[in-house]
Amino acid sequence: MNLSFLSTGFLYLLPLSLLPIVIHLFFRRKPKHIKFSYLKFIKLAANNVTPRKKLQQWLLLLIRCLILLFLGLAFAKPIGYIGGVKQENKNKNIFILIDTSYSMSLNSSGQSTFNSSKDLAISIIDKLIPPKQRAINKQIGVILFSNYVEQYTGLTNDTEYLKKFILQAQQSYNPTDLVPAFKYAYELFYEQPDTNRAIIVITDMAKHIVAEDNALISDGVEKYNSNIQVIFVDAQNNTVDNIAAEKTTLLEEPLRLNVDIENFSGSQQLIPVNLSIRDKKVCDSTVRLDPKKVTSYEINFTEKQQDEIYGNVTIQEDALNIDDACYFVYPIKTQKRVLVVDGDPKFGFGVNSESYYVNTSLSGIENDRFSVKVCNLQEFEDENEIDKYDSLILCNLEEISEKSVGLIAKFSDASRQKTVLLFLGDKVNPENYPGLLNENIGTIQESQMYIADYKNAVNLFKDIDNFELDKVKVTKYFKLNTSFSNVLLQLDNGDPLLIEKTMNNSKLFIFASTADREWTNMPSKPFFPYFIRSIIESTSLVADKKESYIFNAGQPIKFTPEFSFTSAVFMLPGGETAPAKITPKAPLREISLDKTQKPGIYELQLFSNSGKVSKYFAVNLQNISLESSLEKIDTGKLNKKFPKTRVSFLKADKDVQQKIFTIIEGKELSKEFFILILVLLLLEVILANIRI
Amino acid sequence: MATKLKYLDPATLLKLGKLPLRAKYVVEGVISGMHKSPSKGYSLEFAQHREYSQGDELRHIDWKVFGRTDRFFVKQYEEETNLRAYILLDTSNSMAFKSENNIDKFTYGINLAACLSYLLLRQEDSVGLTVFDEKIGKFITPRAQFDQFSNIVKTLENISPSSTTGISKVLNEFSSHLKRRGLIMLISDLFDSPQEVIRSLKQLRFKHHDVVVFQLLDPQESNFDYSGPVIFEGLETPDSVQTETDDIHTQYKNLFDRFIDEYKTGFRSSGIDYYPIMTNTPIELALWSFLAGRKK
Repeated sequence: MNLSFLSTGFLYLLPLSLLPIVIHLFFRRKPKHIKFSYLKFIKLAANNVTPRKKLQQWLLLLIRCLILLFLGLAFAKPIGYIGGVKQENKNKNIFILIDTSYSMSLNSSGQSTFNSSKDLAISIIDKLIPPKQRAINKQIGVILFSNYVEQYTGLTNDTEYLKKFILQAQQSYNPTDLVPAFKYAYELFYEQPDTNRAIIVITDMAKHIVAEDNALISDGVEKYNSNIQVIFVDAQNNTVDNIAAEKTTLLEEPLRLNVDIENFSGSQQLIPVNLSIRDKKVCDSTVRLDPKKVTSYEINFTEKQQDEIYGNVTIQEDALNIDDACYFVYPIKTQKRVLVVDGDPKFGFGVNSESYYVNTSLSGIENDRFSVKVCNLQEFEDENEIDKYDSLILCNLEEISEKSVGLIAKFSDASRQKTVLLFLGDKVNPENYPGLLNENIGTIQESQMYIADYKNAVNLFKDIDNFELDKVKVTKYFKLNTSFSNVLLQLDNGDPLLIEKTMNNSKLFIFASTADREWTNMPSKPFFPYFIRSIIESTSLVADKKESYIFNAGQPIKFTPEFSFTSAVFMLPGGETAPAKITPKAPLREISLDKTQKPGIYELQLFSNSGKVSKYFAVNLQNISLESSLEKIDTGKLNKKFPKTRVSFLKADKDVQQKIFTIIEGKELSKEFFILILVLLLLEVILANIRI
Repeated sequence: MATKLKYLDPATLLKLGKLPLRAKYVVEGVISGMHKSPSKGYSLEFAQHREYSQGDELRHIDWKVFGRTDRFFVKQYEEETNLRAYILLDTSNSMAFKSENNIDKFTYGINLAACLSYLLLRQEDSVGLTVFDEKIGKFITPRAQFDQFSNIVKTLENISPSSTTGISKVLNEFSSHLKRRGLIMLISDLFDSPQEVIRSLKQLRFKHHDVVVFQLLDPQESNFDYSGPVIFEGLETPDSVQTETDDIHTQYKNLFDRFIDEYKTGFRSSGIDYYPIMTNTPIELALWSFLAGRKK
């Protein structure tokens, strides 16, 4: 059996195993000379005891020397190669798997783990097949992997080709998964049955490299072969803390962005957080993060522009900076579309019609915050795009037909919150109203009343105190009952003037009177426009989320515009362009970018005869909560995932190439040596305690 | 413990002047400590009365009998004359051994011999001295006159340890010199063959001699309190032995204890009084235990 060693440094300590002999020879106590009266008994005792005692002492000396010798050898990690020459001549095939996942971009010592891994892989190749040597019986292949096999070479002894391949390898933005890479390597090895085979994995040995469950690698790999040796090399020897911005969520009322930030370190952190929208920093604050927890942090902001917001939340940069930004694109609706259905619309919005007052209240507002369409019941029933409206105002309708009821139900059941405002009036016949509406409508009351109580309305009408409500007079109104509803405005006599109730996902407001001045003077008072706008603005700012605009890195972006265009191109986060793939699809055409890479905002520029339109998409890292955790994997657990396989775990130190070389050439005997040391220790204890 | 404190340890005793003085000091001390008149003697054994005749010493007249009978009777002892005591002192080289803080066995033996001589002469017993190693060196015939003490002391002061031990041979030779029954007191470390020594002493007993053996031992010979490697050089023989004392300690002790036991058993079965004495034992105590033993 040939022996070689992984940690050769310890071999220099082997001469120390002679220490017991040195101590015995050079540190012996000098005997005293004593004149004694009678030597007979001393001679007898000495003759009886000394030979056995000497044997015992020499045995102890030998055992102690052996213990030190084997200890030195065990720490030197011996590799025994049984069979010697014959097996050494056997063909050897080796795959080097290099982790390209984004956690490998960690830069804690001036160079990223990925670049160190590339250098390491090249040095391993040089060790296994030394330059200018013909390696007839040894072939090496390289597989670059993240959560799938990104690139690979076949088995070859052309080391220059392999090195070139490695030098050109690029870091990916994907998470790690060992299984696909191993599956691929085992499949390739399956074609090389009669060889000594080994897989060298260069990774950061983070916990996320393989699923934290009891599944074995062999479970997912059909061609798994326990005879194939596996060597893991930890390319990142430093322990580094990390913080990651993981996810954003858009919240409203008020408009705000929630960001989940995970602190993977074991200590509390206080870090700056920035929110940028459309490349402009809109918020700059700090957040305190508890150790080993996800902290949800809300950032308030205002937005006046239409359609969508895009940007990013960034946190303080750390060693793994790729996960320090989280990108977002959210479609929003700042312009409210209002559909007014008037039972008796006057031509040209005649004075005294409800639609006139509503339209007047919503016009002339900056930035076109409101878009109003007035129609009669017949036109309403023919409306095809009821979804696009945010508010529906029904004014003095004599009846609400069955078809109208269906439309109102569809309108109110959208994924976002909308409002329905019902103005009653002289034409209203509650019997012709559907259940939800008529259950609250009573008979007409004629009595001069004033608004007396509005305490329940302050949430909806935040500035209500600025208006002279005591001048709002109601002379005619429907008596409303308050079942299943919330009374927002109340008259002197306690009768409700405005009630609010839930209708599917939306809110239904019923106004007991009407905009007709014969019923109330409210339309002529400053409170009325504020009243109308507040109810409409209580609808959701967030647009219908029919499509997602946030993608994972590595995934394709797909988008189907609702308008025609002539050409399209993607602007990537780095400023580069990528051609958009356009798939003819009647009646619309789908635009896609096959593969996203770097996280950031991707701009799709659509060109048509009328100009350029941009659509934005956010691309974020996948599985951040796992991949950004740099905690090291339990090698014991990882070992168990490779049943019956000899798995070695090495640190990327200066001797790692030598260690890999010897592992591939033979069998590590450290464990056996330690068992032998234990046996020798036991022998030593027993022998030292034998009384002679 | 109080008894021990009362006496001087042997090393201190040596500083008390010359041998005769020391002997007197020790013996007087021991006797006064026993609260008995030394003039009555312990070794003299009363046999019968006989009528006074001219020439008899007046001090032997039994006045009590005179008071009852108005006639002079003198006490007649088993021995018509004084006790004849023979002190045999071993002067072989092994007796020169001494351990730290103790006096050597030879010096102890000389002092013990002087004390015994003084004690016996004071009782008007005859005392003789024989010094020997492998053969008899000096032989002083027992006499009861008090100048005998000076003779004995002079001899003791002029001897030194020499040669090897040959106790049994010496005893056999000594035995042939004895004409009358007597008290034979052997002072030696008895480093000889126990069987032979016992056999020789048994022969003396067979001839109706009273035999007392003082075995002088150094505490280290018994305890063997050495540690580490030691080269032991023989006092009587030119050879030496190197050993790790910690290794052989138990074995040595066992052998030595067996050696002492052999003497103890042999002497007991032969009716020989046996007094093993360590050289750190005050001589007074040694004497005291001897006298106490004799009283019985």
